[in-house]
Amino acid sequence: MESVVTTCPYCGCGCSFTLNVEGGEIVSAVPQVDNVVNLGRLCLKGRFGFDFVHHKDRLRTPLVRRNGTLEEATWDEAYGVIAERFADIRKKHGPDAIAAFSSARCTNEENYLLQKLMRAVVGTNNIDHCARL
Amino acid sequence: MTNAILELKEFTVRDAIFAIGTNATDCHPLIGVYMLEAHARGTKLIVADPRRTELAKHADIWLRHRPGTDVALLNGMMHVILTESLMDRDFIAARTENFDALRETVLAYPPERASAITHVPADKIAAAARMFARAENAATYYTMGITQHVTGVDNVLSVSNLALLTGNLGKPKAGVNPLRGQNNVQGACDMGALPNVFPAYQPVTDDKIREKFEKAWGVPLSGKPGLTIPDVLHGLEHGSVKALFIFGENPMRSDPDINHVKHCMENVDFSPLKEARFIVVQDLFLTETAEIADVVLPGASFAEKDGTFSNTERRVQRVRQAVAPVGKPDWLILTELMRAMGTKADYAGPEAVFDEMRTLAPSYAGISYARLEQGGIPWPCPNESHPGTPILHVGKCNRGPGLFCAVDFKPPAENPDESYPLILTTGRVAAHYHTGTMTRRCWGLDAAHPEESLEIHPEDAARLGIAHDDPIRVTTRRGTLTTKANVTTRVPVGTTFISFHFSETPGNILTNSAADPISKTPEYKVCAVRVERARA
Amino acid sequence: MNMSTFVVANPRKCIACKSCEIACAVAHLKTTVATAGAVDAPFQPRLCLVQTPLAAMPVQCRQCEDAPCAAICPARAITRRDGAVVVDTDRCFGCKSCMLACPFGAMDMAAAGGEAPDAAAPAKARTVAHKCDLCAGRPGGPACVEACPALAFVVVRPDELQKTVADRRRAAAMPPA
Ligand code: SF4
Ligand code: SF4
Ligand code: SF4
Ligand code: SF4
Repeated sequence: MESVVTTCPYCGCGCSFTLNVEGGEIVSAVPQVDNVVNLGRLCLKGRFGFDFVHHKDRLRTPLVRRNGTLEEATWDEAYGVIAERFADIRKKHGPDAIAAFSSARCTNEENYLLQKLMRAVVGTNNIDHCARL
Repeated sequence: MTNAILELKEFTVRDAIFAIGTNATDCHPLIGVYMLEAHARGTKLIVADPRRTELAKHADIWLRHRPGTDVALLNGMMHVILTESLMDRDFIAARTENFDALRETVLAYPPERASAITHVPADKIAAAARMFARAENAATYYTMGITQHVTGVDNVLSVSNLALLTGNLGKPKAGVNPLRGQNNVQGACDMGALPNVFPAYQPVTDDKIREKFEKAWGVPLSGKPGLTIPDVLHGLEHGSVKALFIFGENPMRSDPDINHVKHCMENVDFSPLKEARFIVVQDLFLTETAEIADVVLPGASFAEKDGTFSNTERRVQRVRQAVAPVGKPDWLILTELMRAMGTKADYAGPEAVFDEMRTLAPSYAGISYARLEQGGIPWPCPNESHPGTPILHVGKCNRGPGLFCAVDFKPPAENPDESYPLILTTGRVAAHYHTGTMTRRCWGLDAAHPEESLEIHPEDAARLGIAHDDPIRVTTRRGTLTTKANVTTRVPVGTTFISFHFSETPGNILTNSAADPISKTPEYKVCAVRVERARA
Repeated sequence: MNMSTFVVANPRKCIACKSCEIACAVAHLKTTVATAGAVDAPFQPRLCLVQTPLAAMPVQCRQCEDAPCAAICPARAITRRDGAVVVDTDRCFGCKSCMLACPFGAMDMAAAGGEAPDAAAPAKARTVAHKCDLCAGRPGGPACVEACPALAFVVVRPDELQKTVADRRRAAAMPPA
């Protein structure tokens, strides 16, 4: 069994716990004792909220809409479609016709990258996330 | 939060906790539990909530105010503090500005008037004011019950006025403490996922700041503040926004008035070019939003990638990969996409991204992955020998003296009337999270709370001929859904409650998108609703 | 004297989160949680959260010394084993007399074998008496106690109970200060 210490993906308390992994599957979440938030405790979401990771509904490949339906595509195809459409819209309507909603559930690094992508690559400040919701 | 979570462990009989508009035991269970434990040690607990939450059940004083009347309630409390001279004169003189304006406004809210607006008995308002003001330290905690109103900013200002008036800022066991509802709302804001600021709240309109980022990123940058979420939806509807990249969000369930959201997203531009909008969604599941996207990118869950989250007390903590990703780590997707769009983006991993970020974000400058191995660090942390900052505003407020901002009560945007006679308020339940894409797919959590129900008071239910568990139809001006009645005194007469976790009965089909003019936060907490028994 | 251990929650601490119910159901699974989700295993906790306008707390078996459920069972399926009152699900024929007898409402009925989920089984499963078994055999002890974020449970062991009672008697005998 492997054990990895990480931070809870749910509320803003930021409890830390150990994920115990067996054969590539998370089998339990055990609270950290020696930290400054949860002191050996976890709420129900922290303790029992990990099995969605292995859910059969997880998306495995990119999807691209072709003739009205979402179809499986390769990563390069998906990136290609996005790059082409963004470039096209940017040329016709300017960068401010493109916007992004970032994620309060993703990491700092990812939020940094998405705002950089919007600001430095697309050229717009149209980036927001659901802090208000 | 201005203060640290674990401070709650140090509250004594001389201190007070004021929880307003926060169902902490359901939404931030650990914080809720620490509050109850402080209360068991003798700390005073004042709760202001229309619903009888677990916190309210245990409170010394429970102020059951009408949804959307927070300003009147807080002004009423401040009236008592002023007229009974319970304020902290030294603090007001040394550390605040604009006190006279506050006094003038607040004196127009004697408890009797506040009571008429809030439906809380005047003596309870007075008792709560005295308990708060007489405590050696009093900390205020709030969540969306304060912010999700058309007067959200006014509500926050009122909370802060109360803290300033009683000298409860810039010291331990005090402060104004918003509890962040999501694991990394704090971080997303810190990282500049906001239309007006770069990372660490550096304004895009500031030429010097922009120059710094232009130099670092090697491209010219726009100084024009961008669009907020409601503005983007409006832009999609009216054709000024043509493309939208949605990263790990489900606006088709999380945003107010989702029929309208759907209309905006699906809006087809009938200009001669016949150009439809273009929507990209990056997520774990085919959410309701992903279903209407043009490109869907499979992201990775928290357990499948490395990085950091910043919690509600600004503590930056490590996220570590435990299992192989089913999709792709999102940081990798974003760098690959940047390269596909023709930009150089070679990061060895999340740590390299973090290191670039901290050269640009002064409050994160001193935090490194190596340091985080010893545990989380609360920002501001300006250099690597700085221990981090558990309490903000010590000595003085960040903007200088604390500014009183007097505010008057304004009613919610939509009030009950003949056709929609009840108030609907929304929120969360303990077992679920946001639109339920993750928790509804967890065996134990979904089993413990498998379906939606509408909380309705027995008197209202009786009048409408509705029994517990009856199928009911819930209708607002925006939409309608069918669910079950949960007949309970948890809600007061005239008020109903629903969550937004269940995609089959999406609470946000009902909510009002009217928003605070400054924060743009929609008024999820109040709208007018009609409830009827549905034919089974 | 031979008294049994039992688990009881304190309504002054409980936040009504149901973590204990989930912990109990998970502790008795014969598979992993992800598998239980994949086969849609029935959720069968052995304690039940009760909410009132004043407080909330889970209700579970007190492991009564002279258990009314055991006394009434026509199949003699309920016995005391290692200090816990346990149901022999092979003997139980589902008459529900024990449910009626239990003064706490702690006895429930559930699908036999629901905790070893097999996609085909639940439909055919017999319904049998279902109650707290104190997590017999679980290395960490009672799962509900371990999972409660509010530390609301007390494991009442005979020696501690006797000590508490002795303390209270002493306190009662002391003249008020
Ligand atoms: S089920 Fe009820 S009667 Fe039987 S031992 Fe438990 S508490 Fe006592
Ligand atoms: S249901 Fe089973 S255990 Fe309960 S009394 Fe009947 S036979 Fe006995
Ligand atoms: S002690 Fe074990 S069997 Fe009994 S209620 Fe708690 S978790 Fe369930
Ligand atoms: S886990 Fe604890 S707090 Fe939650 S419902 Fe059970 S006893 Fe109450």
